[in-house]
Amino acid sequence: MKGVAAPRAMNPPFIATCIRRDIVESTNDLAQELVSTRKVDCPLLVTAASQTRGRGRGRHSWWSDPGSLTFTVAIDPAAHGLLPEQEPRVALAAAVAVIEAIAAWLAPDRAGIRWPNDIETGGRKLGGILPERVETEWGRRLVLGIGLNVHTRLENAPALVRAMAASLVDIAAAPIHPDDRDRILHLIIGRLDSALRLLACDDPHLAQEWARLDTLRDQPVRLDLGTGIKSGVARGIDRSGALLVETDGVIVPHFGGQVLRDSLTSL
Amino acid sequence: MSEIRKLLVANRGEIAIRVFRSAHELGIRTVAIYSHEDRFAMHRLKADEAYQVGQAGEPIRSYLNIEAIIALAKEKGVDAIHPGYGFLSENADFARACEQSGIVFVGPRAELLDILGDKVAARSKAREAGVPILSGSDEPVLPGPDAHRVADALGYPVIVKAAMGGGGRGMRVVESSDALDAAIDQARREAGTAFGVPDVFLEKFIKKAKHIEVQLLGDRHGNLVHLYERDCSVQRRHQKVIEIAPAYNLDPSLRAGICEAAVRIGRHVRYDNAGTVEFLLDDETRAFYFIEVNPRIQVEHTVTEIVTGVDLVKSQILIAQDTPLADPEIDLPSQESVQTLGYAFQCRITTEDPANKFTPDYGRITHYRSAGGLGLRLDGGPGITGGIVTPFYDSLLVKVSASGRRFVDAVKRMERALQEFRIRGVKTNIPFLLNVIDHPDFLAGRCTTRFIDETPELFRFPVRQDRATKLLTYAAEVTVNGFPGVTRPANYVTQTEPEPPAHDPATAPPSGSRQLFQKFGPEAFSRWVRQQTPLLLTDTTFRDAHQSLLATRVRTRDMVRVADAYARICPGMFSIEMWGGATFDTAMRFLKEDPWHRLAQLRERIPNILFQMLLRGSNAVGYTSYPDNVVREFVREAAAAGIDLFRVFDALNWVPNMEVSLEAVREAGALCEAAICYTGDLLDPGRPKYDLAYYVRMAKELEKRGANLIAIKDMSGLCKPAAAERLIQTLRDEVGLPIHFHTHDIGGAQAASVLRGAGVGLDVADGAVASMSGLTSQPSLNAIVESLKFTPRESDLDSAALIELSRYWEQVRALYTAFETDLKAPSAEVYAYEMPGGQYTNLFQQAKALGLASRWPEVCKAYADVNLLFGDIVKVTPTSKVVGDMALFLVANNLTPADTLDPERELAFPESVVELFEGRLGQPPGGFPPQLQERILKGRKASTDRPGAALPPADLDAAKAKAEALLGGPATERDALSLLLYPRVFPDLAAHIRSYSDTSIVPTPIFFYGPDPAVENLVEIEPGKTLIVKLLALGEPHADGKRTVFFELNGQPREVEVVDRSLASAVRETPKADPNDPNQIGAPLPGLVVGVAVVAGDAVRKGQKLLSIEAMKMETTLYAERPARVAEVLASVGQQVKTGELLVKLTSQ
Repeated sequence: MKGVAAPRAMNPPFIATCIRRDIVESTNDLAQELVSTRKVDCPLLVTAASQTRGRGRGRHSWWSDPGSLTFTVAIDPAAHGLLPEQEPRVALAAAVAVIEAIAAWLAPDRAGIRWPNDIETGGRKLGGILPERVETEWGRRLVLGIGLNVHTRLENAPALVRAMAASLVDIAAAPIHPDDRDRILHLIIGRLDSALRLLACDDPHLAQEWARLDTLRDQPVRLDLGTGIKSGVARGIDRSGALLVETDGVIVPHFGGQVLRDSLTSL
Repeated sequence: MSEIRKLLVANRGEIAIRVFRSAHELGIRTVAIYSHEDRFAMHRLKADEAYQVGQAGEPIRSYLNIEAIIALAKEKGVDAIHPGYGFLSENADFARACEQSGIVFVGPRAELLDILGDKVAARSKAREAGVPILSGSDEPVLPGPDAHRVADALGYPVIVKAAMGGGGRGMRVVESSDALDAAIDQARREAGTAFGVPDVFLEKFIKKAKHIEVQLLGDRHGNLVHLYERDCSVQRRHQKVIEIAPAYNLDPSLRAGICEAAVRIGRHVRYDNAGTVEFLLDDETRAFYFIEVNPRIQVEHTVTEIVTGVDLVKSQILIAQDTPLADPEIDLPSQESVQTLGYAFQCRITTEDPANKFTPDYGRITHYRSAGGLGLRLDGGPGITGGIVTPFYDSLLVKVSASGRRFVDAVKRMERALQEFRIRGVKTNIPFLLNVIDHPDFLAGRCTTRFIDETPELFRFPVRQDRATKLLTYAAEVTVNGFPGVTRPANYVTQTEPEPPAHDPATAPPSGSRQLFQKFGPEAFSRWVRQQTPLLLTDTTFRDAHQSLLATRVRTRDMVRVADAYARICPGMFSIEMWGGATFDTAMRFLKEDPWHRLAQLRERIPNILFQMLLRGSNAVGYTSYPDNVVREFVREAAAAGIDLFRVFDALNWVPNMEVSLEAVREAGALCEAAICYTGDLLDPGRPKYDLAYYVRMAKELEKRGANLIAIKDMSGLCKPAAAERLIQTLRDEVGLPIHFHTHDIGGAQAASVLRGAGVGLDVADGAVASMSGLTSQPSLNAIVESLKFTPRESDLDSAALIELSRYWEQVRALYTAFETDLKAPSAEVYAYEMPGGQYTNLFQQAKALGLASRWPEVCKAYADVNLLFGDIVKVTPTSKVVGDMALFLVANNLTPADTLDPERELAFPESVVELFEGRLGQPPGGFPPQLQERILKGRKASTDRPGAALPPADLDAAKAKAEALLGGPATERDALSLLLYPRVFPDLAAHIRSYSDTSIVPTPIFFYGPDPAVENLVEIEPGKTLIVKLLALGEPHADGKRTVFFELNGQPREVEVVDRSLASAVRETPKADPNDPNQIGAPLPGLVVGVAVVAGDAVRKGQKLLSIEAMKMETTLYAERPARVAEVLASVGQQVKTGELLVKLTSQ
């Protein structure tokens, strides 16, 4: 394939342990169970041909079909030199990695990050990152679930998913085949390796990337903080990964909360 | 071999720079390599050429990348590589790769690196050379029975050591067999990570060991010399901290033996280039054992260079290009040609925080001032102002080597150098180094390798003052947020501090009233006062004048600045009232200064005039009753601090409430002036309650209780001239004590009262210097002195001096314009309402707050009515406030005094009124009107006991301990008293001092309004130590609501960040969790609190969930680390928190 590296040996070099399953409930659940019940050499990669109960953030579920790329990487943050304060930024770093990995199919200016963990194209969701933190007997582990609609047939999806999702196959600049999922997986893993290294040293280039890919910038946003909703205008993602929200001329960084998709509330 | 022309240093930091220096001296072109993370590092700029190796995210790997380094060297035409220490310096593969590429490796032959890098192999070489080695395992060990057999044979303690590498990594001391397996396991893991080879072996561990190492230098022609030894016993966790050359206090024969053994090993392996043979010296048996050979230049090579004069790095380079030792360029033809002179030792200044387990500190160096001078050598890396210390590399900032002809000279020089350093922005180990070199064991050369571990006092550090940074922070704070309660006028123009009157500081102040008092004692001095013909005068400018005119806001600084002049030009003043009343409270609460410090400073400068203070009986200098022991201790301490005369009063003229104070003053040996508060009008036959007889009775009672003087305290300025004359004359006739008259010129006629008093024998009168007199203040001293001229009572005071003082205070007063009241003329109503001068404005503000401003005349009228309703009481703090509260109550509820007695009405009286009628402030003459008292108390019991009698004594020691905790350092008895008197104010003062240091030294205009831009301000922090501060600019607000304030401090740029409180109500300044307190749970990362699982009072198990924080969809749950009880939950769901913010407080169960 033009512009795309040929697949390498099946264990990507960054990965120490690789678990492949045909069908699982959720790769994140399996990865969590693995790292908390035994001493697994990390990074651990868990992939599955299909998930029956994929999870999104909070109580959301993640709809997928056999054309979706869903996998989980578990890492030992200390081994990558990540400080606890840097850990939440792993989702942003991973999002940057995913967008770089699919650059051969989708021009980088067509994909962006919807803070903090969604990958979007043209206002529709192409993928997402679900970061979770697990305390284990062997130390803390970060479990990163990554879902990407590669060859997904959205026509079979529920209406809400159809309204907000996109699949790479439908928009890719180059033809895409079902087995390209493995290439993309390898590319993402490779990019994730370097993104984590940049994150560990707080390299400003990484922050520049997520700031550049920010799709909410200068958009009116409503941020659900659990106890209330804060309205304002998004003013970028800062180096610490916080979403800057301007209200009444005052810019406040937000690390938590959910940016509401107001255009969908009428659905 | 041809000469080296271009040398690359495969290293970074100070050692790279060290090598460049020698190379430059040899005329060799230098090449640096640097990682992406090191792109701003100093070593890059010190080379002739510099190239990046590796990519971002490879801070260490870049310097270990043999392939890339060799490729770069070839590409750039490099013909030699110096590896420095660490990184690739002992890597035989690297040496071979150089060789294969035709590049000279500046170091020993590769085969030597193979042999000596492997400690097991090195030990067998030592054994072959006949050098004793420490018994240990011959083979690498694994956890298990074999290791236990070896360890048992050696005998505990044993040490587990990595076969490869050094620097303390992979080393563990094991005290007993149960810890052996775990230690081997850990050491293997560390060694595996650090050196790639997990092999470890066991050795006998010597308890009292010295680490002595010998510097070798050999050429490629079989010549080898030693350059004597270094003592590197001062170590922390096997990391050298201080290295001394030659070893101090080492027996010469032992020295010869060790050096000879090192040479034997060197000859046996045909050592070439520079290397070090390390030995462990058993301090008890004098036996020494080979440890290892370091086949490279060492961090501490500097000290050997200093004492031998041999440039080791230069020699290394020359040897690598085949130069023999005897060549004049090296000039070491024989062992005899090596001599040492004096002593040198090296300290490594690192950015490690010794107070916090030597945790490396990172960040920007905001200020860096270096040491220099004779006998000092500095080998520096990132140490410059603005330099960044990154977390990727070791934390070495600069190596400081000091030398001297004697060891003690070198130590003194080092102490001086370490004190000279000023490093701000990152923490350093300098305080620790100072403790080490100051220790007797160090000075005597007695340190062993366990010295640091076994000497806990090395970890006790003086609190670093860093006054400059703290004062700049204060200036930034005032610049951004202003001073609380003070608005900077729109037309504000820079004010300058006035200069004190001219005086001769070189002459001692003439003796005055204080010397007489000290000579006579209280009783005789009292008699002396009564015998004086001139009217004696008290200056209230330092206390009551500014309390009455400027809300007690005059700062210590403006008093201290005039003090030297005062003592010299006005020595005839009877006394200066300068303490007590509201000054104690206001100094701490508002001016953020220590009132005791004010007293001490003025006392030192004015040793010749009596100091007097106003003491509110059992309320001391506060507003409530204090336990007797607090009052006694306060008086004792105040007298010791310099108060000579205590004017004691009670707000209800109730003598029992004054007794404890009067007694305490007499016990302290001070002058006891008992005050009678004047109220009403003794000439008014319609108000017989406070008639002449009343005052005489009270004065006699006070005389009986041991008073040395009687004061008439006319706080509301009601004692009109004719009444004053009657009262003073009668009291003087009836009691044998001097009479001291104090009044406020509210009505405008009070100078006349003083003068009429003077006509009938008044002994002492209060006044204020003209510019601080009149209206609510005292009558003018200048006017009194002038009025008495050419009369029998003519004062001894110098009119010219009073004019000069008045000029000074006039200018001082201008600095406090913000606190002036609007009062422009004497009060017309003072005699009608009998309201004390200080209360007038306060009560008006209270009325305004209640929406009663338009009914102010009604409030004044009610004030007078309430006084009569209460039975005509003395009105002064705190009783005046009760009368005011009641007056407002009546007006606000449209009540008449009669309504309060109406049984049909159910009234909720103000709390202060209830307290007064309960007897909590004491008893008025004739008691409370019973009918009203019954209505107010509604069945509650009234007490007629002295309020202080019921209070349990305060725990002074506990208060001192608490003050210490608040100040974060030693506290005095005086601090403890401040805390007991003002338990809520003192903590704020302590916090202020901890944040900003002592701000009382800041000039008043800067204190209230901040520095003017672009003006050089001088702040003298101690005699002869002056900061030159210039405000440059105020930055734009950041997203977090902070602003950067840019200054120039002593000509150097400095920045301070402060929260702009006018911005972002969303930005909260939140308390931080103390990381050293396991009971304070802080946020590990910034985020949103999404769940709180505990409430205050809950008992929690270890591992129980406390709360969760979400950041960028990642939820972090915080768990209890041990069983505890929840004391306080500060976090709430929906709250944004910052890293380190305090979330939950626990207490031990």
